[in-house]
Amino acid sequence: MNLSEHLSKQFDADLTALRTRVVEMGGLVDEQFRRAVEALASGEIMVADAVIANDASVNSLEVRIDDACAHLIAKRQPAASDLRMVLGVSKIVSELERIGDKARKIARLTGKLHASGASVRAWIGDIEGLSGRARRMLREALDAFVRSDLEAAVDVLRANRDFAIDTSAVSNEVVKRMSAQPDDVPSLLEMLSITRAVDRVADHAANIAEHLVYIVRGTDVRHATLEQIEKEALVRS
Amino acid sequence: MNDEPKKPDLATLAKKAEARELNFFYGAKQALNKITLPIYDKRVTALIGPSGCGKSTFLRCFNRMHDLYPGTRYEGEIRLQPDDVNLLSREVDPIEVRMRLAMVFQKPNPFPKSIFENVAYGLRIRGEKRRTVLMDRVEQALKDAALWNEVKDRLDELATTLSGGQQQRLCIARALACDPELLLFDEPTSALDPIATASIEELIHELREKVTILIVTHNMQQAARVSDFTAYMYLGDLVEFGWTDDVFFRPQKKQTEDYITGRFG
Repeated sequence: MNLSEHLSKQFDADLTALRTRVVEMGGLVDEQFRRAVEALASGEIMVADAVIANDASVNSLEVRIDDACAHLIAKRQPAASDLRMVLGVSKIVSELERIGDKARKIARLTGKLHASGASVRAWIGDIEGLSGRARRMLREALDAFVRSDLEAAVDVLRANRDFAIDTSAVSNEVVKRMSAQPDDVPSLLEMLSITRAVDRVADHAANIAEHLVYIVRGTDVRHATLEQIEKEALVRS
Repeated sequence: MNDEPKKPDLATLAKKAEARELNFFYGAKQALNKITLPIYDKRVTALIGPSGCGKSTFLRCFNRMHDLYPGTRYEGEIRLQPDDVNLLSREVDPIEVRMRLAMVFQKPNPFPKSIFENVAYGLRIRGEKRRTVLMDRVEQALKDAALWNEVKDRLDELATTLSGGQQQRLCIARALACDPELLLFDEPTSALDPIATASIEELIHELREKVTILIVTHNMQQAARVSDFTAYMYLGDLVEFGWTDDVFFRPQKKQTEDYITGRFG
């Protein structure tokens, strides 16, 4: 991607500000997700409530960044890599907002789950492991965005493939318990929902990596296979 | 992976003209370096690039405008189809060339005559004397130039009484009256306000149904809006040529990218 300077310093400043705000929003949703899982593990309802309350900040950042994208297009008529950057940022911001929604969802289910008295210890251990990996993918995707690093982006996509296999193993465990412990089904459904939410966080991180391929290469790889993406992102000079 | 509308294969498109290894010299100074560029039939091709890149020089080779100045020299060819005539050949009379092409300049340059006579001028010098034929052709040309409704009741007034945008459309009507095969535009809107510019751009869009257009423009957004193909030139070289969609979204050369994103100008 083209990171050399524009003749218009203001245009450079606007683009840099846009990228900075994406990273800022990324940090915020990462923290939201971390605290939601922390609340889930500890059962601290106050932490969960704080996560729910703070989702409004995530939403407002999404709206503000999207608005900045629209203004940049209107005022600067960006072309080529600049245009792809603006469009890509708008897409990345949607992914981040959805990660924020998942954090809120986990926080919302935390109270109910702990009140139910179902046995959740072992499963929470799995969720903590998975969410740690999902957060790593998110941070790597954002780092890749900052550095326009397609190799790192492809690593995130590879990690997501393994991740999907592992979350579905955890989900299957929960499903198995449903027939063994029919009384716990309402709680087990919530656990399933949370497991899915964690899986979706990793998916959104992977989507960010795909948007980066679009920004850098101009190829939309959202519906491509991992092999096609590797080829597009890594083989081309 | 990509879901862009499929563009026709270039090999299947008819060419109206083609520059082949065109060199051009102002005295000892070479202004164009081996330019090979197809001009596809009934398409709009935009030439962009910073000042001094040779885009206007290139355009002016087509109608042999440079012949008017001493010390200029062409090498290579510009082939015009369908008869494959080399416009630059010494055996080809520049007057003949200019009969087949028409040029519209930066500033509207109506003759100090009536609106009617401006449009009829080219036909008259080609020997057309029949009043009804002249009337019909003038009307059609003014309609094609989207000017008829504004001037039909004042055809005998001086062309200079028209607004700048109208004068430019009059110049386009004057060009169209002689049925040119290739229309050359040299920054046709740089002296016009945004509204007049929009109407000329709209007109260019409509005219491509009838005639092949080659346009030089300083305004990159204009190139992006009106053209099918874009050629980026720099210091007399053709840097990149391709579908406008591709050049403005995913240019192949870093030089082009830097120019259209305003990193270099």
